[in-house]
Amino acid sequence: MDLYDRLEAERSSDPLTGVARVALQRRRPRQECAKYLDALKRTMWEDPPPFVTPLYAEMYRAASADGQWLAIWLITNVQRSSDHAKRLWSFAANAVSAEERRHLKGQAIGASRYALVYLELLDLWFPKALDHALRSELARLAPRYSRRQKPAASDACTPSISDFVQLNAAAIRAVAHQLMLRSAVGVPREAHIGKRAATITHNMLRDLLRDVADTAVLIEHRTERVEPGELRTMFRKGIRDFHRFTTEEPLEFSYHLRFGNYP
Amino acid sequence: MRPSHRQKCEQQSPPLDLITPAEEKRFRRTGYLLLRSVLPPDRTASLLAEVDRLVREANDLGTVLREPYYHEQSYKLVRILRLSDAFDDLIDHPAYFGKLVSLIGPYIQLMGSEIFVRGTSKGTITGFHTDLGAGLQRVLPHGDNAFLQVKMQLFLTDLSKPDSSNFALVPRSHRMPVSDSNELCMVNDLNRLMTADGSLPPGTLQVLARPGDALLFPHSLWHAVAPNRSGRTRYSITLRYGQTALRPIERFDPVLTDPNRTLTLRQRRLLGDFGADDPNPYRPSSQNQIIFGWARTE
Repeated sequence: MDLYDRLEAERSSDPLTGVARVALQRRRPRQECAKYLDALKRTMWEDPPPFVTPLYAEMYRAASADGQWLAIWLITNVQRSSDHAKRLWSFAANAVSAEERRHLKGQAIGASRYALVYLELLDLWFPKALDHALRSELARLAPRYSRRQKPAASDACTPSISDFVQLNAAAIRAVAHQLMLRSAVGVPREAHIGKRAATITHNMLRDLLRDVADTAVLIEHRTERVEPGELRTMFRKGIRDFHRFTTEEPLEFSYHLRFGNYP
Repeated sequence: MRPSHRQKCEQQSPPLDLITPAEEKRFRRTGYLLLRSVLPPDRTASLLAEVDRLVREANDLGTVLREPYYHEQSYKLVRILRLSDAFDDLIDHPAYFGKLVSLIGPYIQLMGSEIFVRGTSKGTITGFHTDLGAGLQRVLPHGDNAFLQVKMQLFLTDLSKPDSSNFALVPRSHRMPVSDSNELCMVNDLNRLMTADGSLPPGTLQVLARPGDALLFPHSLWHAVAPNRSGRTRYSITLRYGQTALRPIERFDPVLTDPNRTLTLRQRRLLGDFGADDPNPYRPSSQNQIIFGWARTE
């Protein structure tokens, strides 16, 4: 079973934590992260994000039939990934331990790369969608962090457990988007384009799963001495903040509007 | 064969059995309406078995909710429609749903779902209070106005004798302002009159209900839970209905997007599915057709 099929199968049987379980199973060295999984499952059950539902995938599929929508979605993701990279870099600068700094720096580099991957997908699928100036501007958004760079101390606070929960949820959502992108209707199917797109999206999916597992492990380590009740409160805050930050995203907005939700 | 979602949605909902003039007069005057035997004994028994299973499961998982003002053997389970599809037909059960529409109007939604568990207690289990928070404690029913919220409490165990953790209430209090309260919307003046042995103040009433009976009451009714000296645990289900413009207590989209669920168009609307085309809780499309059961398709 390939990675996509495995993820789809896990998400189908366990929509709330399926992605996190696969991510942790792939990680070396293996870590169970039982506290994390338990808290994630409970919090996601209490306040489920739209992206775990089959309806959200249907909405994505319907929207992606429109090439213009898909192109705008990719452009938005260039911007979002760039911003996310900068946030991670700032967290790395203020991390409380060397382990956290290493992971956060790695994820910042990854997010910076994802921005460029979305840009490459735009080039592949919609080569005439961007004029030269806009493309250059988008390319400049990605901070292009590298291992050699050192995160400079910033005014940002030390990342809290709720921040890690948000990072974890963001990575899980990005994995869900990658699975949906695979079945996006408006994508050109020419063989030479498809092969390159498949390679870069597969690599991105693999890296995103590593982000999910790494943040899970960071949460597990940070909360070794935290009582279950306190941990649930931290998760609740993290997931609710995550909902708040994503509620105006196009699909989330349509979903919440339809069901009268007030996240 | 189980009908598909589409097939089920296209089924005609039965016509509503609206409230009778006598029932409405009684509800508006006293602030409650006890409906006898809304469920037959076999259906009540099957619901009790499912509730018992969920309560055991929740206790094992540690997911029961103990409110700070409950005594230690009382608690509740929340968001119960997510836990089981056994309650789906209660969403618009013909034995009471028409009466709710009569009282609230067609712009009605389900706002929350709970299972209450009330164990043995020498004293009152909760003091007298009102629902919907401090803001709406000051908004009282008036004249023939539509109600903001009406709760339906379905009793699954025998409460035909007092002091079995019966639902306690003050008749006609739903139109009375509360002068002294707190953040839990307690009626302090009344609760101060309660004695340590759990005796309820004069003018209060314990509802004597049998399994399968249902009680309807508005948000402003002063209500409490009497002591439980019966030696039995009380189980009941509460569904909270209100105007579509109010903020629901829980999210129902996990139920609405559950692929293993079949819900009628009316049930979906009551759970907050305003449709994909111009969804709006203030002006939900085809609301009358859907609630009164005239609409056949989505």
